[in-house]
Amino acid sequence: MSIAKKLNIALIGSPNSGKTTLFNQLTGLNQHVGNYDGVTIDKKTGTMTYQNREAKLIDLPGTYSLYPIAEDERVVLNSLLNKKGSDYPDIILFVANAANLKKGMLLLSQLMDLNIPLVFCLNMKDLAEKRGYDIDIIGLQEKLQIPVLYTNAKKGDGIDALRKVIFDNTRKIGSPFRMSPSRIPTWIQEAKKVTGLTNDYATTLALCDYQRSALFDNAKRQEIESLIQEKQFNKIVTEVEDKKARLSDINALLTSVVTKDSKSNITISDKIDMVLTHNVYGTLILVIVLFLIFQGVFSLAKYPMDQIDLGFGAITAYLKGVLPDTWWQRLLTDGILTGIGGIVIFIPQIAVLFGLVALLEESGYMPRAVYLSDKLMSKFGLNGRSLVSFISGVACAVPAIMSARSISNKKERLITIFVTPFISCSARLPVYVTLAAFVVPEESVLGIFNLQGLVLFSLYFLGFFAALTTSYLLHKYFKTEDKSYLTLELPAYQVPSYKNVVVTLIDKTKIFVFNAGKIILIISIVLWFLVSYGPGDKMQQLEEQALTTITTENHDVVMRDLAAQKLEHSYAGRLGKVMEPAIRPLGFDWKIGIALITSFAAREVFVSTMATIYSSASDDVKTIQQRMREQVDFVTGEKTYTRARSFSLLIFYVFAMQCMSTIAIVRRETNSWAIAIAQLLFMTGVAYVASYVAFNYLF
Amino acid sequence: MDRTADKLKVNDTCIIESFNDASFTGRFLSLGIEPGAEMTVERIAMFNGPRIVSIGGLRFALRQEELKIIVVR
Repeated sequence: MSIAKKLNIALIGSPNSGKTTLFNQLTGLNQHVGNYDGVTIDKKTGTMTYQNREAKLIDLPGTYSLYPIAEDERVVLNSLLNKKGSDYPDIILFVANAANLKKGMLLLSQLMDLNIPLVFCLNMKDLAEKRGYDIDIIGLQEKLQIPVLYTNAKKGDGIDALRKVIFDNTRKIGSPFRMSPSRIPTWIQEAKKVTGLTNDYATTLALCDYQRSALFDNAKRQEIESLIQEKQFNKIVTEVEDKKARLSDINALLTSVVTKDSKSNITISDKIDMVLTHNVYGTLILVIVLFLIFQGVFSLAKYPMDQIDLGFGAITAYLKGVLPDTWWQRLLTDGILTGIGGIVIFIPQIAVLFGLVALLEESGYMPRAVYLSDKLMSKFGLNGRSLVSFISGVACAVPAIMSARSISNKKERLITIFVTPFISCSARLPVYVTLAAFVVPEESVLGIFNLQGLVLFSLYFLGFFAALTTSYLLHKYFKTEDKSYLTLELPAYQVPSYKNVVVTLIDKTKIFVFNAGKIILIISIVLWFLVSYGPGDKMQQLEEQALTTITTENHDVVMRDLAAQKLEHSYAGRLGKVMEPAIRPLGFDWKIGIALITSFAAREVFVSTMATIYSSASDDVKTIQQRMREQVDFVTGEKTYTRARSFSLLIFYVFAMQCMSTIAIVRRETNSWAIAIAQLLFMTGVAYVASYVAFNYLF
Repeated sequence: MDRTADKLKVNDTCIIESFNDASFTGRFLSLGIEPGAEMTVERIAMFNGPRIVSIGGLRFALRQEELKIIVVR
């Protein structure tokens, strides 16, 4: 039996309509996450099957109307207007929340006017019944002239019937909802020639959004601009009048097909909200929730991260044992495997963070958290959702920056991404712990508080302060035409769909591994080269010299000293010496310069680099501290790691963007190397100035 | 002078009359916040933060700046 051509089905609906759950039901795990061209918006596609037929199901971003405000809404419009695009649908599957039918009807009415076959799925039937709604589905179907079905996507009810109806209706175009001649420009035929579109309403929508639409190049935009000016077309008036007219028709329609019993409206959601949105209790609960996220990312991810670390260490050791000691073995073990390990080790933190955030989203709590924190965050040019990024950043900036995608305002999102790396992440902790001992002694304050612990806390506070200050300055000095708005719908609470949570965290992890991962791997290999090779044959001479002095008794000591000498004469070491004049004002020498270069791969590499530089017998912090305490300046005879120098180095790590993974993810999320590099330069500049002040003036 | 929604207190109920900023009107209409709908203020966040309002069976969080756009009676 032959298999018919694969259909394109666009799954469209407003936020909180159960679209994601429906998508997961229809496709199972047969999904793929990609990217829409030119924007950092995930593109989810999946394969839906029915009998011998297959269809590509495209989960378009949630939107309230086809007059887009944000980029994700624009993606929906572009997909529906671009007949030549790979995503142009053969049929639209529209999903609405049966308990809030009116909310989705505006969008449905617009879709009906695009002349594309349409199936209407009324989801969350159980919720509608609980709220006392009774919808005359037959009457609705007669009035709209399109198939209308009930589903409960969470339980899987109605899914099989939905598949059948979709595949049976791919050629049936229903009547348009509203093609009022008074709202379509009289010069529409002329506009259709200019835009290249064939549908009157599609053309009207394109005229309202041509400046930002991906459909048109600059030349076409200018042509449309001329036409609009000539005809004095006002897009705002057109949009408002169109929506008002549709809503009027929708209200009349719903009056005839929807009844609601007159019982009390107070639902469980309302009762929960009395506590969760309370100014005092709600805020306390929010703090607890955020603390649990923070703790969760640290503690739940720790064990798998340790296992990954051990695993890669074991694989590396095994390969070093069985493979010949050649350049390609070292590239494989110290370059590629280290790079891959550096990517994989983030997976537990990303999975835990996005799993927890997805739980909050699925339950309906996230909008409440945004509501409670919005006032404070907006003072700094941020959004309530930025708080999730900040708290997550205490564990790791990588998933924290990824979580900023939920912020729809571009400026707020960019500011959040820009400042999040200032938050002291878990990778900084080994550096802080190592150096704190040189800044303050290990004693207590008031008999209770550990002085070094207080110093660590103040470092975290310093990072948070830098983040808020930078946000404030960026907010004040970078103006944008885009208005910042909240206008946040608070959906009913519901039991999270664990399938959705798992699918979400798999998707986010894939995005990180396959996108940012590429950049991290390349930089890892470059860093490996810089520390493994040096100019001339000095490295080889050092090895030969070491072989002449090595014995069974002094083997370990000689090998450690050899490692330190090779590092000094490597390209990284040479770079450290070249950089020394620039970093000397901060109190740093070339050895610290090497550590700054190598810890660019990951901040915690600072500790192992110091171990190598000072020929430490192990990476144990106490051992390294002891070796560092023994270091003296050969010219002055003074201790190398004075309080001033240690403090300067601590401050540098508080502010500097010493993390290639963060740069990679910023590039991915902003689609811009310019922003990632500007951020790197800015944070390095702040770190430099702060360290200079700390070294020269504070002690 | 027009009365705007930012002046409302908790438990105040009113009817939305119009909007005085055309650039926000489209957004409000998309969400079902439309003239003629009944609006009740349920909660005001700390430090004069956003309000939770119920309109037509739906609940929204709106900032002061957004409520100033909604003319009510």
